[in-house]
Amino acid sequence: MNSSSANIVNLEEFRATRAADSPADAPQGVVREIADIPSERRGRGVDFTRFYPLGEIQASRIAEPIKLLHESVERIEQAIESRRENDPVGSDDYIQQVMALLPELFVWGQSMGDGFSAVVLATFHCLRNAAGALSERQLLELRNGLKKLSIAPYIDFEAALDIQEAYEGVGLEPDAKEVIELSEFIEQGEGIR
Amino acid sequence: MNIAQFSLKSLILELRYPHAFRLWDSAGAIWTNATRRWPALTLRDAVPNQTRFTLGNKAEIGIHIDRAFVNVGASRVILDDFVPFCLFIVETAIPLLEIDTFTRVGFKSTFVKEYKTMDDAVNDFHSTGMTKQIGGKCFGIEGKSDSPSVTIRVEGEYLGCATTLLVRRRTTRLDVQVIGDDDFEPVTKEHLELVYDCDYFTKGEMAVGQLKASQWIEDAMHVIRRDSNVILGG
Repeated sequence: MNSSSANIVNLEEFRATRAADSPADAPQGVVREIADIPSERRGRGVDFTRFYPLGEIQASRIAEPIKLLHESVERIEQAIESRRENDPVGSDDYIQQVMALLPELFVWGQSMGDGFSAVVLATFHCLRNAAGALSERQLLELRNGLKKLSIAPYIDFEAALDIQEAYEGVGLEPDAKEVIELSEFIEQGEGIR
Repeated sequence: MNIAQFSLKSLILELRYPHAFRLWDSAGAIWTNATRRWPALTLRDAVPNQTRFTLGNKAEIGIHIDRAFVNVGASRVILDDFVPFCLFIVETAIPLLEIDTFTRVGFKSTFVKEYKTMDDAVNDFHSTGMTKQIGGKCFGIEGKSDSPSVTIRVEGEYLGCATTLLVRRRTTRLDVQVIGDDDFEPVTKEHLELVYDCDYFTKGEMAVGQLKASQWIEDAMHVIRRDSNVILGG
């Protein structure tokens, strides 16, 4: 006959730092606003301020940059809409409004993190370096970049580089013109040598 | 009674996530980084599924395959003692674990008020109006409520809070392990306490890039202190 043995794992030692998993663990009174969240409502698409105890109110330091981000996304969406209606001038007007919002957003980068600053700066340079009107695909990519930032503004630098790559993928130039010229100059120099 | 009469004794941040198998590759890098910041960190557990260090008797940091936590405790804790450990977990350890989402972010604060007698503690507990004081014979027993407790759980769509108010008698004992040593005597200390414990947590998946630990903890602490009157009676 086979014999079997099992290790007994003592769970008690980490109960102190582990919170109650369910109401059955201890409570004597339960107040529920919503008993269960449907699975489709969970996920990473949720406005992140909903997870913050103070939410998107003035007392919270995250309120202002998020407001600016939402405004920028809205302007790009209006630019896309104008472009679809064959109104390139209207579309450009909205993009100029986004250009005006980005420097202020960049200032917030100091408190939001390197990833945030990198995406804002890349978006700014994409618009500044654009030679002529942006295509719908390029506008959509810019909107996606800022939307990702509004959902998860504390992204790390690696994730910001992914967004920059996506910009480059549709023909945008997310680096400063001076940097591009400098790198071209260095490449030419190496060629001469 | 209000929150100002209590001392903040303990703060815990717990992050839960889907299995982070990177722990098996990155544990060394994480803890090397941690011991550079806090050289006095002492290894307590290091097994494949969990690693845990302590810093004196003040702080405990643990990184497990499915959760990470920071636990700071003292006679009077302040957020500045706690937040640097949380930032280390969120900004250094989590990227190395390559985690995308948190399934739960929990912040537990424990406030304690000490008493000379158990009766005083029980009277203050009942003065909150959370439960009624039972007098006379009850369940065939002539006695009185000795260590009452009540827990209220409030849940919204994305946030929840489980608050517990209880009276407890806590005894600590320091043993002297050396037989025949007269230099030290065993010490026993008894604490009669009213404990206000608040566990604030997120519900649903939260992307890693959505959490700024210092901001979230400050917000949670603000709300816990602001709304404590609901439990303590103001």
